[in-house]
Amino acid sequence: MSAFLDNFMFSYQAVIFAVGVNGLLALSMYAVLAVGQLSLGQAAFMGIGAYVSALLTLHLDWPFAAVLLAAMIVPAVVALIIGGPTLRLTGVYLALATIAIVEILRIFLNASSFTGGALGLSGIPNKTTVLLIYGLLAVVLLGFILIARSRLGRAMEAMREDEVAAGVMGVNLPMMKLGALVVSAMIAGLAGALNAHANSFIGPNDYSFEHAVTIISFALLGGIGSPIGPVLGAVILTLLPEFLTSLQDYKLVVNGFIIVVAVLYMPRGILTWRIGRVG
Amino acid sequence: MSATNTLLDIDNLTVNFRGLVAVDHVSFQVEAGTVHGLIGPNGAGKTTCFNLISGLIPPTSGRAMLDGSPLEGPSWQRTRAGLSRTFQNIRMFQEMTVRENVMTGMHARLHASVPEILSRLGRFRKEENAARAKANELIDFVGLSASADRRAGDLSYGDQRRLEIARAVASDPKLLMLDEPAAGMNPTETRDLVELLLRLKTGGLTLLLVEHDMHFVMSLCDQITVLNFGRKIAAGTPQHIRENPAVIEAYLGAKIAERLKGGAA
Repeated sequence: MSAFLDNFMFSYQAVIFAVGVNGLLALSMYAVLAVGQLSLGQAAFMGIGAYVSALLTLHLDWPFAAVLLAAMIVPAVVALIIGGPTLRLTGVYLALATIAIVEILRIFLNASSFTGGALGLSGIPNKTTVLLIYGLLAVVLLGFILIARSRLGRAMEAMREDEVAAGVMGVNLPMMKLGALVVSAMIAGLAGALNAHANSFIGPNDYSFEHAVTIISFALLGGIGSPIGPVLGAVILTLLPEFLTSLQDYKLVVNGFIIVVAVLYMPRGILTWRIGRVG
Repeated sequence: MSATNTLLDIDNLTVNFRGLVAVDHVSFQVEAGTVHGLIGPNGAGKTTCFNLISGLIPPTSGRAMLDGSPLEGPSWQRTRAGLSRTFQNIRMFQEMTVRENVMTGMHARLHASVPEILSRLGRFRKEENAARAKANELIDFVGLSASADRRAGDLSYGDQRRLEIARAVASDPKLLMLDEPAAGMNPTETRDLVELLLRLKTGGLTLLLVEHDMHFVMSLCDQITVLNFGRKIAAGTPQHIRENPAVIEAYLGAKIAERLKGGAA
């Protein structure tokens, strides 16, 4: 049995890691969507976390816990800087600003020799374990569930439904939006660091706009009525290509198709259940 | 000095939309513990006035004072200062249950911090239990107990209006502003609403309301301010307003007003 498990882990370790990392990314997307905003920058926050963590490990040999912490703090600071001016405005400004950071990051990573340029960083030691990824995923998920069932969860859903009315209820709109963006950047950065220390190689093209869209599709497919929906969406969209190996080249087409179908026929996603808001 | 004290003091409030003066140097006072009506023909600037007072749009000039302090900043700060309102077109959080809606109305009065929420320790448990109990009371007060766990969007129109009032009262406001609370209601629902608002008044709440239903306004209000084309044209008791020629003219047009005067003579 144990031999079977070892064998299974050896064959599927990459997929098992990817499901956990994508689950975290889906939750990072959820944090923003849950307050009625749209960020297209989750891939950039992930990339910042990945590069910061890899550089700290490779050059300074920091302990992994400190590396993970730094991989959360740096994207959070970036989120504060771009969020401050854009979140005072309503509408699509956050989406536009976050597209910009994805592009800025990609160009910077390609150009900078410090980050290995187009070749990226390799030889990152494997420090991520299945237990660590899924433990952190469980902690973050539980945190979101506890937040959902509180005054903050009510405020978040109120903002998503009617921002003006939420403001009149006394919800500090800019503070909530900025908080959501910062938390989302931290989780995406954490996912990036875990991914970097699971794959041993990271490159500038791992954190592209395409990837940002994939992260949104996790949340849209799963549904954002509860924090569980996006994680479910991540599990499905990560495993689906494994079952459709013959379609590998069309993975993006399938992703795009799923977004279209989800928007048209399942506006609430697969998991339509909505979490209660009373603690 | 009069014996009553002014709760809301509107001083020369003005707003200019690209040259259109929607609210033009409007001043009026709402006395604590009274029901004050803001009436006028369509487009008179009543809702704009509400939006200025509640901080949804910034005024061009003028100011509002609530209980001696200036009302400033965005809407959420004004809610914290003791202002609450409903909307002309109901703005319910439709996906939420009735109870969750009312509890959302208490947002400004709940203070559990993020660590307290995540740990379920400290203020959280006590505060959340108290909020739920108070929400149940308010739902009972507006007569929606049987629907407390229903989706708000599934309620009838009249019930949504009552829920919106319960949600607005949940923030423990000093002043409750109601924008056309009786709009779209049938006579029975309107009668129930008058009774509900009078109970709120008896409970010590001050009300400022915009309404078109004159019977409703006259039977409920202690004082009335009349706007037309953004300007205040009259103010006084319902009796006084009913007989004011400027008001009759604003509502019915000069010709009809003239004919009415002739008929009465």
